[in-house]
Amino acid sequence: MGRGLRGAFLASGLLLVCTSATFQEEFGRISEELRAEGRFLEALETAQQITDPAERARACLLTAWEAGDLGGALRTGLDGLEATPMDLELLWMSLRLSHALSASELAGELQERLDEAISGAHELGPETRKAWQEESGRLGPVTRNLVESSAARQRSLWLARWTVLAAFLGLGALALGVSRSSTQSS
Amino acid sequence: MSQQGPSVRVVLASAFLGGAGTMTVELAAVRLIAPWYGTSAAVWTNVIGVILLALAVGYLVGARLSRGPSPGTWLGRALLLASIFTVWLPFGAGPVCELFLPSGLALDEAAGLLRWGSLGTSILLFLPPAVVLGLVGPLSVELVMSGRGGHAGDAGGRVLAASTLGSLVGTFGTTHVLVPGLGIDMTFWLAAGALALPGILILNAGDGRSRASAALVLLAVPGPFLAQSSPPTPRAGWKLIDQVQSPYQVVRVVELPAEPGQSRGLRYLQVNESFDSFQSVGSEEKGLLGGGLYYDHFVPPAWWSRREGPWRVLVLGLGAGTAVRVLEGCLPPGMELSTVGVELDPVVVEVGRQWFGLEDDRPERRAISDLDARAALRALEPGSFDQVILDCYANAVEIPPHLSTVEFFNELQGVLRDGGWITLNAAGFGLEDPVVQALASSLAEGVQERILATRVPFSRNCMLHARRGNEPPEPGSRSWQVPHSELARTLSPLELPGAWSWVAPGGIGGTLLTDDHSPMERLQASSIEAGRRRWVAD
Repeated sequence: MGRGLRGAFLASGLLLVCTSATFQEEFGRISEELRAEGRFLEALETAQQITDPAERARACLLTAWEAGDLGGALRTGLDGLEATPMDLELLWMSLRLSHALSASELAGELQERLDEAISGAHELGPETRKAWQEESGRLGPVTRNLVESSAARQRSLWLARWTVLAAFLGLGALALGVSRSSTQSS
Repeated sequence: MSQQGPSVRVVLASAFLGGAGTMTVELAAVRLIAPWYGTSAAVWTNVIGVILLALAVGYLVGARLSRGPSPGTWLGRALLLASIFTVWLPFGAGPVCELFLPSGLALDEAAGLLRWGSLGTSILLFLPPAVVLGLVGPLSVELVMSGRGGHAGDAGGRVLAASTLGSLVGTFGTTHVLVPGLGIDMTFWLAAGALALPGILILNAGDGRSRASAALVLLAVPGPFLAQSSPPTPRAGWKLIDQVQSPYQVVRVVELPAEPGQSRGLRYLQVNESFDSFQSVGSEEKGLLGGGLYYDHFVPPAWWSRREGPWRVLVLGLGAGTAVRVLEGCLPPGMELSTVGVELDPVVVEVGRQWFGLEDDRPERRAISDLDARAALRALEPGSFDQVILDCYANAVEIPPHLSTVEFFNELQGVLRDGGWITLNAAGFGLEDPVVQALASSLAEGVQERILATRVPFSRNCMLHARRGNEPPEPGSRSWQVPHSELARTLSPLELPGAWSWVAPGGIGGTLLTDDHSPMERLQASSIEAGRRRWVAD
């Protein structure tokens, strides 16, 4: 028996990360090459030597992600965002991971933070800003579906509990009514 | 029928049919809602509990009605009403289930809804017919006593005997004849017909008001033509290829969209509720599947053994034969595969032959169905296998408790040669998952050796490896490496910290599962409910 994960694999949009000028530190490059060769332990050890906290977090996140540890990758991303809360790449990757893991509340929060970070990133050129906005726009409906699915789940749970309560009350009233009418007629 | 009411024989026949109808509804009820909720112990408990409560209320109401002037009329009406409720159950199942269980949920998202939703569904679907069926007993006792005279105990005993015999017939008939032979819908319609017939006879033999009540049967007549059940639709993009009822469960074959270059997509075999889970996978080619599918992790022991010649594998939980096809396409050169697969559900094996390329037409590929995995062990020669693959799941997520205990694992290693392997698929949200920890602890205790637990990438599965009289290689070590590039790439992520751990006998403190005490259902419920929180720790 197996349980697949939705949207677990990196897809288009990763280009945004790879073309970022900040991602070309030597250890980052080597880590990327090792990941491509499937040498994940060496890739992680190399990534951990990156000095810049945001780049280190990105490299470690990507290593965990490509190695199939989506939960670990997301934890790495969230830890990295504590140090660099407006890092676009970390926000984007963490959002994608929260989609894959169906973490609806977290996805909603990360979507808002990503949109806010894009708006506040004054250093972005017009083409790059547009690409980020389009990517955020592409992810928005996925986030909304996830949030709505979670809300629908909560509504169903609420409905089920109230149905049970109403049934017990109704049956109790019926039993009481029958008992009383039996007493009166005897 | 006498002027005072129906004859005693008709009344006892009604009690008999009422008992049969009650058990038929109860047993078929769980199967009716299984495509949404599964058939776990919690679902069974909810259905049985609601029906028992409804019967109790029905008995009270029946007792009150029995003191009125027309108990015979009320008995006829009760049987007809029960018939009407029963005939429309298949029609109502889909809409009611989906009221409490939105479509498109993943397995962990459905946690909590399975228990409460199945309880709410049982109340809306099964409580009304069960309340009405509860009227039959007291009304029948009143009619027998007024027909024969004598003592209440005499009348009560006769009615209870008739009702209980009917329950017996309903129980065995539903499980062994009706559901497997006719399907769920027809089972309910037959039960409805069996209840309607004495109801009509009793009412037609009464006064004018009774005969008018018989017209109620018209509400049941359209049922078989309109009231088919509508099972849940597959997830968006998945195509339903086949669906069959087996004696144990609903079995579905769905096909995913084809990737570029493929003539068809992957096929999944699902049972009961499944959500995003699967029991077997079918691809066009044999060999490694990739994509986070745990079957690939059954292969490494053959390479770690560094042998040539026969490789004899016992697959417990054969399903549609995925493990065998993966092994066939990825064994070391010079190794010849011979397999014995054990699968409880014969329909799953048949579906495997039809849709998943399962081959069992020669001595090296045996498939044994209709046999429990633990019972199968007793029929196998000790020391005859190089590897046992354990992949037994009931419904979508439940490891049968008797296949997860220290005693079972101890028996399991008895069919292995020295140095033979046990490879166990443990569905769980990581190595810290309570189910994975319990299985790992119990396996280590059962084989009395250190076992290796690894997390399967891109999945919600872990793999447990054990060896008889030895232990598996440590990830990253020389003996861990395999000279097969695709398999090596599969194993590489497992070398990362947190992706593997050793579990020694008495080691990690996971719940030890024994034949006397195996709280697997509780562990699995807590695993699923905590699943999403566990992915995002702290």
